[in-house]
Amino acid sequence: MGFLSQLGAVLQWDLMLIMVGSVMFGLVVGVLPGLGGTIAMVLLIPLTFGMSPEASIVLLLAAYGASNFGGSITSILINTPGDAVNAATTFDGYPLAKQGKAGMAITAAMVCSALGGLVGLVVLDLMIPVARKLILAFSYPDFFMLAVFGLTVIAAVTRGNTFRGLISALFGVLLAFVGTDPIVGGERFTFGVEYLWDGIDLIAVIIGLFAIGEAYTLSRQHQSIASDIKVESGISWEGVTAVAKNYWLFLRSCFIGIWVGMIPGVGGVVASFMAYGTAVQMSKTPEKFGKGAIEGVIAVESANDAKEGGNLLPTLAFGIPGNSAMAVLIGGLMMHGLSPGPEMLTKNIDTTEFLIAAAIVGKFVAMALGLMFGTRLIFLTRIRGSLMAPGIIAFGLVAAYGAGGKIGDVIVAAAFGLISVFMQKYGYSRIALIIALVLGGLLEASYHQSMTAFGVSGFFTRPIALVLLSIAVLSLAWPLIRRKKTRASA
Amino acid sequence: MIRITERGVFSSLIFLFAYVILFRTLGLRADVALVPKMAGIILLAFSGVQVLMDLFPAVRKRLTFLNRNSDGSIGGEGVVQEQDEAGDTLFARYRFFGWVAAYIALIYLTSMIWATIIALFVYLKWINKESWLMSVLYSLGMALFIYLVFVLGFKLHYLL
Amino acid sequence: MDPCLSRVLRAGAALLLSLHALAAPAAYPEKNIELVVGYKPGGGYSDWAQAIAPFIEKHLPRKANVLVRHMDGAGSAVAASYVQRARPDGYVIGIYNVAGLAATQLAREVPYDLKRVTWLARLSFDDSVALVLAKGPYKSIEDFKKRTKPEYIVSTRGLAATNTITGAVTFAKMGVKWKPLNHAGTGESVLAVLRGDADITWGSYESVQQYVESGDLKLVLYYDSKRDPKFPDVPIPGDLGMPELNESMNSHRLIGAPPGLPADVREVLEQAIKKAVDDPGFADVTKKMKKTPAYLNARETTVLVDGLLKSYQSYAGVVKDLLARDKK
Repeated sequence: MGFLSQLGAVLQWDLMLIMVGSVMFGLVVGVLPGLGGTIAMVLLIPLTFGMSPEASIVLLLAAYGASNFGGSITSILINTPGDAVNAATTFDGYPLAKQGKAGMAITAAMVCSALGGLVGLVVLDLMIPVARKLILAFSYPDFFMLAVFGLTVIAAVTRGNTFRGLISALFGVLLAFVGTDPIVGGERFTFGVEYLWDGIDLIAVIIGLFAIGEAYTLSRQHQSIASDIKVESGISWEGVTAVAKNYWLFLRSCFIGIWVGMIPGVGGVVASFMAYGTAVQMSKTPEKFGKGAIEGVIAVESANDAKEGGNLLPTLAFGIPGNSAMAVLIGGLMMHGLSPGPEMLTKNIDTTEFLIAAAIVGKFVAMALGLMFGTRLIFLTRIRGSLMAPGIIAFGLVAAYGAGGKIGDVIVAAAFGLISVFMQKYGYSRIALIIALVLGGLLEASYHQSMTAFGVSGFFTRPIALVLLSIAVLSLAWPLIRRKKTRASA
Repeated sequence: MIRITERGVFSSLIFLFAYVILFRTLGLRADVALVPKMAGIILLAFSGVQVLMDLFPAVRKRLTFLNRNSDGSIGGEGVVQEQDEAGDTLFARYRFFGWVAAYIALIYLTSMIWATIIALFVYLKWINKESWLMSVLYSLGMALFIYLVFVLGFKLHYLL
Repeated sequence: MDPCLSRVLRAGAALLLSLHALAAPAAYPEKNIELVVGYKPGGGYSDWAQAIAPFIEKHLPRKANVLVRHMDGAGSAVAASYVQRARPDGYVIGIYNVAGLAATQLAREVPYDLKRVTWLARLSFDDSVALVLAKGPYKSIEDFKKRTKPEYIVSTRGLAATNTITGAVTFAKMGVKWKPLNHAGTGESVLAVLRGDADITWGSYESVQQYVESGDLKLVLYYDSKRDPKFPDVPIPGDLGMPELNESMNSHRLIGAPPGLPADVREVLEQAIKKAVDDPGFADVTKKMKKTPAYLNARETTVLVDGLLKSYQSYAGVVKDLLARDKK
């Protein structure tokens, strides 16, 4: 594997020093809600001006890789995702914190992130020879089926009451259509409000639904997040063994992350939700999810970091960014004379291998620092809820405002906080809403694009699309089949 | 017999949302309106049923299959917290919302940092009934943290 | 009143007023100046803003920071509106994508008005280009006249976007039938051509430069008054009988301020920007970023904008067709 040859080049004193500093920076940025890997890199780009290309690569990738780690910490401790991609970590991470098991959750999250990142990057390395062909093989009907599959996850997640779950999902889907339509690029459902032209900001909705919504619940309680349960502090060996015991789930989630990450325009948020949903669907005890199942944390965190390997594929192979962070990376690389594109995979292959090696080392440094840093913060779960609440709200609103400087984001966050309170009270699934919001745009856009480029037949003649459709149908049918089987055997 | 509850209001608002969206699709190009129209119609139908169930207990009894609150749900998603609420719980809830709204108004009128100091202080002293020391320290501490990290660190000067 | 006294009073008043007038420009800038960018960090406009800000700062007559503020939204329309509504005191200026904003103005109600902006300078401009897959079936733009397909597929990024309009106008003049395949981002729209799902796409050279240099895409049309020396085989619209398209659709990066900016403040800013562009340090930075400045002063920029707006108005009919309700 090519990157091994470059490991030595990465493990130099000066580069490692840069890496440690950069990881710390990335962790802090990741922790802050609304700010993620993209901002971390943007802030570091000016620093790279005087540096060598190698040092720049280390600086940028280490911060980017570490931001995910930071984001999971606050997701687990105070139900406040550091970035949209960390939202799914709250589903089981926060309940674990409530049971006093934050240490286990954080440990498992850090370990999975590092290992998941490793798997993603190794697979990237192996796929380099076929990178370009692979990216060109996916087209609109395949994206559409991916979105369909993603939506079937909603069925799994709303087993409690599917009717209200569907209402939440439809609400989310309609929200996704606010803003710019994918056919003409004109404004739709904006009611003349300029702020809505780009649609409803995802991170503002997430801060509202999860952070502010939870802050309300906390404001009513005098117990701490972890109630009166004895909180285990520090790194938890149990967290590590949990990952080892669930290796199959881990690998599966990694692969979902990689494949979804490879598709430009789909976005990393989808990867973590789909990994979570698949974990629920394929579990023998799905009802334990959402109540503190470590499997939920493992699935999400592995997919989240494995997808970075996937994101780098179109970025390196074509210079087409897999997401906004990759766009910044491309800019940074180009400033040092490195052109992403076929050259990166042939003439400059050494640089590419160096990049991969640097990213891998960065993950493990991030894991180490994340464990040290994250476990120090567990005390937050021992503070009285009514005292945490205003702080979380201030934190969340600042983040919503800081993300883009628009007061509209703050209003959206607050509005969804309010909606979250009622959704929780009356049994409407927030997870369904978020998944639908994320996938709605992709679903509509890829539908129209497919029709333009291929016509209706495109959905039924392309192998990848058919495979995804079958998986979607199967995942819907699986629970029914299993129920029939258990009933038959009873 | 119609029973107006907070719950009924909530589902009515969802119904209203679906209606408004559908209404707006009338002015759009056929292809641009296609998918939202489909989703909107389904939501209108579903939320309509939900509104009927929430407002008319008789309807709810007939449609029990739509109303399951099984414990097999994921993490409490989908389970209704049914308890009838005491008056002061309702009061506390709306006071909370009012506080958030006031906080945002302050952000708009002054700046993020000042709004945070004032809003946190008000919350801690008068809603939470903390001590003077705690209220002052907490609000100033939070504002300082925001200043250090976002203004100095991320150079977002407009927060000032 | 005693005529002598009134004369003294009038002279005194005039002296005071002139002193005040003298005082005003000398006191600017007193605090930080915001340079607003309508795009997210990591893109071309952001790069230019962040590159020039420190140099403007350096050449201001008094010490004040020039702070870049990112305000993305609606294709820089949110930022444009923000600057439009700001107080014309010289503390808020913006970097504008004129072509994009002019195109948007044709398609929707907008709260900004490019005619009223106080233009300060042009930083750069970028040529529009038409591109196809390098190793694909089309060798030149003329191939599209051959009608090998009932409708060619053009990969677009918004139907009211400058690049789409450029393509639409060009194909209209050439008599080519086509349909749009729309995407949310440049990356995706380029990928469509690479996959063969789309036949051709339009873009501004800077944003697609890397794909041409990597050999994935090739130019088939170059919008300028003369051919690019790097691509001597690529025709300009004039070569194909459409000289009016040579320069009217290119994108220009301009710096502007709210309407009604006082002349003295404008002078200060104009000078600072000019000196910033001429600064050898700035030349270094732009060379590293592989970008080329193309400075125009305030007056020249205003003339440029007027001309651009007029030509965009003439394409209003094309835009209306693109966005028409009853597409067949």
